[in-house]
Amino acid sequence: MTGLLTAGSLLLIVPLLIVGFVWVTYNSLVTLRNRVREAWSDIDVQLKKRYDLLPDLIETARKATAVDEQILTKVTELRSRAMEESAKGVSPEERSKVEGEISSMVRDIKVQVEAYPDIKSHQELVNLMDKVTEIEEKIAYSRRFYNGNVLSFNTKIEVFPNVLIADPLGFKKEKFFEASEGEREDIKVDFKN
Amino acid sequence: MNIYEQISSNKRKTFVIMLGFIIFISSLGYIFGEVWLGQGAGISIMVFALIFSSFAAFFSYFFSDKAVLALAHAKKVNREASPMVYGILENLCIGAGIKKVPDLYLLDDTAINAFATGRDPDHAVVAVTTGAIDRLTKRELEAVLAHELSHIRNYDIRLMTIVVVLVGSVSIMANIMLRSRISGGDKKSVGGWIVLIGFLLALLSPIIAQLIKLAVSRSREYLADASGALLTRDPQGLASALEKIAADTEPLEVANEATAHLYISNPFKKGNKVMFANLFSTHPSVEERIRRLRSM
Repeated sequence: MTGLLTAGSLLLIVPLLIVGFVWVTYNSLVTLRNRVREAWSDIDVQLKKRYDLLPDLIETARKATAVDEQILTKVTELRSRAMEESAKGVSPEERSKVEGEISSMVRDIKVQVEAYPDIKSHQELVNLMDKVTEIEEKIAYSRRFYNGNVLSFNTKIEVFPNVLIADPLGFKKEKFFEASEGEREDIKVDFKN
Repeated sequence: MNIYEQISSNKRKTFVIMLGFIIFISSLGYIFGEVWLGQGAGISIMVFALIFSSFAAFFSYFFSDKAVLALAHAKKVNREASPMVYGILENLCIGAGIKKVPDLYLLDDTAINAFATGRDPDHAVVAVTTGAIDRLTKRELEAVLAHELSHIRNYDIRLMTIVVVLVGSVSIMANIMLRSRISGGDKKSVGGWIVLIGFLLALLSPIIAQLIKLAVSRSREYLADASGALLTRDPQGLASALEKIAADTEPLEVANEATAHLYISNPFKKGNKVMFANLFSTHPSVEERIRRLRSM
């Protein structure tokens, strides 16, 4: 009689425990995934600000004939490609390639502007450059926040026992938004003093 | 301890301190009522003290940040007034996922120091001295602000700020009582009670010290150093800022005993209130913090 009772209660308790586990895990995974998406939209906001600023920069640099025409054409082209991708909602991993190229082009422009301090409308160029640099910093920080969130989400779906139910419930690993090479060095400017 | 444990521990400790304050003041009221007003008056004084201390605790939860800022003579600045500092703060908030950029306050003082206050990330303030802005590099300033943002994110600010006001008001009361006992001309007082109060007052100071230590354990500073460094990806930046602060011999004029533990580094320099600094040591030694940062 008692054996029957124990078996009966086990039959009841075990499924309840499993349902409870799935419930809790599902909810926390949804929360984490939403955080990743929110963080991604933060990056997107900064990238869009950069799209808005780039034409001004390119135009001014072209008028001052301070920067290689090739670079300017390339940036214009990359910008429209990036905007297309943004509108289409391409994955962060894909977006990071074009955006990273833009970042390194912007650095090239900066170097050239700094190399010729006597060109006309130099001050205007420097001011624009400062604005772009400010946005580059914000992109770097929002990328860091995004990647941090991706890391905690990916870890959460990979640990046992979550790994057993993450895939069937439709949770896939999120992709990092990679930094382009040398970006970090560019932000830390004053090492000397 | 990770950041999430730190957050819940801070919220718990805040509650315990507020509750402890109410209980402490109420029982103090009871004892004084019994002693000075005679048998039976203790209860009514206790009720009064209970209402008073609950109100004080409630008030300090919402307004202690204002009190702290007023104590430090801090002035609010906007983006236009200080674009560089504001820009750094904004960047760090993006990196930390803090939606609302904290209000920025300046302390007109040549010493290098900073603190954060408020009750949660949505009601937070970061204050820096003008000395810090002038004498730290952008990289070092970024590291210092990241340290302060970590205090905000960990809810250290809520606990530390409430401690300032509650512990401060206890010590003011203790002072008043101590004086009234010394100059007390109340001849009809019962001898036994006077002795007891004497003991109670003697006990007060170490209790206050203990409260502060409870609230501002050294691990809190290490954790803020570490998570600040994680935010900037640059522990060396904070290490060199701390080195500069350590080498700075200038004391921060506006700091006092009650607010000392809020600052990134002990605002009292050598030769200035050394006794106090050693007794409470609200901050771990700068050397140790630098050593830990250098080894990251």
